[in-house]
Amino acid sequence: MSATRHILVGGISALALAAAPVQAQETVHIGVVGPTSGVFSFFGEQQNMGVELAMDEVGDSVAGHDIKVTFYDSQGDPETVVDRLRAMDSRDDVDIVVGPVLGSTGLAALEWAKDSGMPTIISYSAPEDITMRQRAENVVRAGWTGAQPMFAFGRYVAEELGHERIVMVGQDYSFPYNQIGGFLETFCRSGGESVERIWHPTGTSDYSSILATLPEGDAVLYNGAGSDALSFFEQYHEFGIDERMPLIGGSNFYAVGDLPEMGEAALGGVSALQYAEGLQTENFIEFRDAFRAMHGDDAMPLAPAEHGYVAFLMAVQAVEKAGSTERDPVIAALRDTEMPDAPRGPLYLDEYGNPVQNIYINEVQEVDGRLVNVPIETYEEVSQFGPFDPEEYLASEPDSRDFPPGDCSDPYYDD
Amino acid sequence: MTLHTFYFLTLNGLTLAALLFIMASGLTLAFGLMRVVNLAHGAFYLLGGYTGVHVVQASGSLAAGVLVGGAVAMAGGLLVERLLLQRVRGLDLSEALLTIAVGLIIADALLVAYGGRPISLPLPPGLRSPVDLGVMMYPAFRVVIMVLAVLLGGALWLVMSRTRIGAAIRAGVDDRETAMAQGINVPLLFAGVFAVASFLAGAAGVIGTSYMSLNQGLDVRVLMLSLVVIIIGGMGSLKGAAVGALITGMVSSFATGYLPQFALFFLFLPMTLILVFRPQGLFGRTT
Repeated sequence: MSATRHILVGGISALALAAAPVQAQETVHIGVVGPTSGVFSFFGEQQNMGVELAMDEVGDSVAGHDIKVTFYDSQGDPETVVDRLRAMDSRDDVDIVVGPVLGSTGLAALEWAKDSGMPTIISYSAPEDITMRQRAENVVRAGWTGAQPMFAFGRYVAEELGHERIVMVGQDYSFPYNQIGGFLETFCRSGGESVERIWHPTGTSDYSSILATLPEGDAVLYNGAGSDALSFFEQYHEFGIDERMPLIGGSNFYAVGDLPEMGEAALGGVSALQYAEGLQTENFIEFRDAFRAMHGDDAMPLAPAEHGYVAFLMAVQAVEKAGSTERDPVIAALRDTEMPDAPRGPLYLDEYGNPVQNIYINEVQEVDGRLVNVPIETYEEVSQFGPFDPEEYLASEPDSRDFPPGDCSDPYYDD
Repeated sequence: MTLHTFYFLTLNGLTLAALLFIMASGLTLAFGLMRVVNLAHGAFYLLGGYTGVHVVQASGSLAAGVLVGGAVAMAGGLLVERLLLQRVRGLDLSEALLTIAVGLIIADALLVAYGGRPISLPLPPGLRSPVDLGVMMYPAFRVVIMVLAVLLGGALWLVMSRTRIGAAIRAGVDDRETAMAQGINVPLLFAGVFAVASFLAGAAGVIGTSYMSLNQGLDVRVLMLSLVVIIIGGMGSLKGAAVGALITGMVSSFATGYLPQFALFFLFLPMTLILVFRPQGLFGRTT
């Protein structure tokens, strides 16, 4: 009796031992959130296509963990994003979040992440305070801040294009404030004279009267995106103002997908971003070709796609380095991210969690019958603080409708 | 303000007024006859716009685009009226909710079909180039839009004041029961007016897309502007729609020119004043 029991117990233990290595194969669950339905679905689909490419390259497992990925639809809505994030945390046992994509959803996700402690890699969402005044230890970014590319652009427009007076027309909300804020900081210190800011409500379709009263300047900068940008672009050319003043763009103007609708009139248009689909580096071409092999020749990877790709790789690298999915080591590894061979160019995170990276000055050119943004100048290692000291930058007022001052002779620029 | 800027802003205001009149005239007539505010009017603008862009791309003719875009919206309007609106006739709340529902369904279906990215209309080169109006050069198709609106206004006025159908519509507006007792088929008349109104919304969608890009959410904005116009002018009045469109167009143009940040404030200011001091609108009748 007793002997039988011993054999039985021993047998079960042996079975358990044999099964152990299989059970120890843990999973790392990565949740990807972005808008895949609704008005902004283009951005979410781009991000997800980038993630799918990264998944394909990474394979099934990392550091002894099976990789499991779930995609969530944010519908581009801050409340929905928080719902999805809650589901990831409490229902689906997600270990790391990639996304969201849009500005407002990024801020909502940040608020949620502060409470939950979830390791979160914001992809394309660009409000600067995510990695500045409201930063959280567990939230890092794979993308950019609104001012970041504009630090380089302001300098370029003043020094290389030689424009002194800029007339800006832009959408009246925080992201464009931040873009022109970054622009002014360097433009005014590189020989610029003034930037006159004209703000219009988002959703304006008729710009004829803004164009009728447009002040004179050396160039017009349209600071916005989407259908507003497309309408402005068309009407700008209809009234022939392009013959008087060249039209340059904020970072999203020529860059995120409306180029085919703009057509040939966009040729020669200049803007700045940490990405360009016309890059000719080896890393980028490899990425672009793999992307198109996977998603079809009609697909062009734009910045949200590359940022999704990089964000996913950041997650995988962090697990590899931490050797586990424990939050603290993963967060520590994430904050140490270095990616010398990212498609957009080398990047590493600053101590606030935002990439330090190349900024490209892009010009719209026709390549193989397609309009693309081709880099014509590169500014290396630009951080979210541009040329400024982080602590001083954080102590100053955040950019707003009329800050920093539009007149470059203002004492504000005297330091 | 230089004289050139003044002319420029005036012409811009007239262009917007023309587009608004094309939208609002149908809306106000349908309301006058049946007391139905068609809140799907903006969705028909989108439907016509998207259809028209296809047709213009395929045929290269803007006129074909406007006609087909209008026709598709008209077919949609007829279906809605015959199959849905007729069932809830006379129930104000149900009618309003029904048209909201139809508008949402159409707009969402278009979002699924076309995605959220804005599209623009490739205009024939002849229409893109500016023409000399004596006071300044102005893009040709904007002039065409103004001419179209004037022709439409003239045609509608002739129909309303000089034909039997117009007389029947006016009778239906004034006193529906008596008109029916006189043998006027008011339900059929209403179907016709509703169809024409939908046609105008669809046509306006194509015309508007010739200078503003077409995108999701425009349906609500266009509907809002049309409602502003008919509230100012008086609901049910054709003359009111014309005057309301002129006021709205001009205020919007000059406000956007000089105080773009407050453009929306000035846009709704005339309507607010009208609602306070003359709730029936400039040419509306108290009931």
